Amino acid sequence: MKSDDIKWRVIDKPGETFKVHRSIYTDPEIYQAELENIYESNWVYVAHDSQLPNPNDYFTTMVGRQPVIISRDKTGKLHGFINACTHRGAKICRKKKGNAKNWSCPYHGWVFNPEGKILDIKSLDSAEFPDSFNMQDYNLTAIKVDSYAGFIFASLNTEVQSLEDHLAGAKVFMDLFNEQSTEGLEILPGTSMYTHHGNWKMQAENGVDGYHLDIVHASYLQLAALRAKEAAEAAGGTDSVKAIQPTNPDTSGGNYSLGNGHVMIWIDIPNFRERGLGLQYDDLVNRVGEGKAKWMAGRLRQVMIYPNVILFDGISTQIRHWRPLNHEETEVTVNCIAPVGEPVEARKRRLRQYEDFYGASGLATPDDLTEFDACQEGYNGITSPWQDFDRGMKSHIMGADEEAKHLGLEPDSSAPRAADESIYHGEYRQWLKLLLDGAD
Amino acid sequence: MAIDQQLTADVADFLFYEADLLDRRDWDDWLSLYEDDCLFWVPAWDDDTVLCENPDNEVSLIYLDDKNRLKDRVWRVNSGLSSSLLRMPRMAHLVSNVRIIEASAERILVHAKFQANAYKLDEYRVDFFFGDYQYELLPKDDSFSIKSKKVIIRNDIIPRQLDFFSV
Repeated sequence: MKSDDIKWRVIDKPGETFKVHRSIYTDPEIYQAELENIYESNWVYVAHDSQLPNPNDYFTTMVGRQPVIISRDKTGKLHGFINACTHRGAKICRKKKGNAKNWSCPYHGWVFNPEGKILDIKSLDSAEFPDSFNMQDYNLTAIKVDSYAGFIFASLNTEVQSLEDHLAGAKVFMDLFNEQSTEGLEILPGTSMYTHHGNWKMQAENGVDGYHLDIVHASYLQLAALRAKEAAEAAGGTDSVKAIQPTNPDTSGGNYSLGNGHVMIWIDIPNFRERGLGLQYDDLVNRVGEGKAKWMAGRLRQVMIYPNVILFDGISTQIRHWRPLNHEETEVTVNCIAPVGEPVEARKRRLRQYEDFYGASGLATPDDLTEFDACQEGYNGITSPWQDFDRGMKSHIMGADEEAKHLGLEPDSSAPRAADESIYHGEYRQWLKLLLDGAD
Repeated sequence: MAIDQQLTADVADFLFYEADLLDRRDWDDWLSLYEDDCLFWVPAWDDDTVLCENPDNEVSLIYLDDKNRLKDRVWRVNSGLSSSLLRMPRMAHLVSNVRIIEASAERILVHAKFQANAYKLDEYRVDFFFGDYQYELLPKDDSFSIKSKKVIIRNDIIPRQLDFFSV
């Protein structure tokens, strides 16, 4: 696309207004530009260390439209490749995950190792290749792979900036997440995938949207309160979930813009001692100190790492990542992530809270997905094309607030309420930057 | 084990009755089939071939460990507060392959297959889940009650929503 076709779709007047044109959710040409310039030129989240912990483990997934293999070689180093045989293009690794010293393409039997090196071409002696043929030209096509705090990212762009530079301020919150256990985190067995009608950017917005909470999730919040009340009265009530009940996002918590499109919201959880980590709060304080423990156990944090993953730590602990299927359909993959070595009771609590709220089989996520559907339909009303992200603009400040300074965080901006929609400025500035960088 | 044709027929009739209550959205009668300390469990799959088996250490799609949690789900449908549940699909549950795995005076273990068809009129689409039911039934009066129901969904990419009435 030409930059003139893109830049008018975001109106960014600091202190005055911030608007996006709803065609960004409905225009197939914009979607093609996003695939090329966001998903296939940038870092995207692909997996967690615990999904391929051992030498010769591999994990298959997608980066944008493209199938990839993430592998760990015999020395423990991570690699990534386009999951297509260099011979005739068949997908080589066809399972979600596995362990193999080498990969033999099921089509014509070419063999590769987990470093992508070609080891064997069937019947090479009788191949009669031209003199210019060089077997080493047929190693698997490598992509960039790196990890931070156990979270693995990949990029199809060999010139992409370093992962640490890309993650910017998000690293502080990735560390807070990872330090729940001295042994790190692990993805628990049991993956769920769901699909929804609605552009992928609604995923990136909704997971850091404090404003919708008491409307979209009214049934969830009322039910959680009712359960707690009936269990306390003990007249036949029971509550094995003990759902968290955060403070009001319209008037408390905050948000940060962390650089490169990454943003997060936080809010306090008065009943945090009912959380998996909260059950061991005193031990946590002894290990990391009061200030950090409060952030880790006592505060809901939802950290969106642009463009395709949110690290949730609040309701329970979830990694939610997505890929667009087209401009109006999205596929989401969710996992419960937990501290390694967690006590049995805390693990059970974490799982029950996870299943209660999250996922297309939980009591909350289907209501979000229903709203995405309604938005995608509403965006077809293109006679009414603009929406603003002005809520909270007056108290949105550039740089760090007091909470950020205590954390050692240097955000691009800070805001004093979790419901403020100024949080989207960071996302859409990055969206515009990446699309303009890739424009003609 | 000699196949008790009458018991198999009675159990099948009971499963068909439960399915029909769900299709008719007769939530109160549906709830009345369950014991207070019942289990309603839909495990997640870990990968293509491995089904999660330990709900205390592995993720379930739905894990409701007493009847109050089933009532929670019904409460949510009736509340009018959940936008996803304001547009309920028209459902038709098909239940078949009913087999008695174990039977005693105290309990009956039953396996069956299901296909739960959903017509989502607001979305102009048809979805369905299919898979296995595994019941522990208790003999009760002239019929049965449900001590546990495990639902193994074999097509587990979920189109927008999966709830107790979807399987």
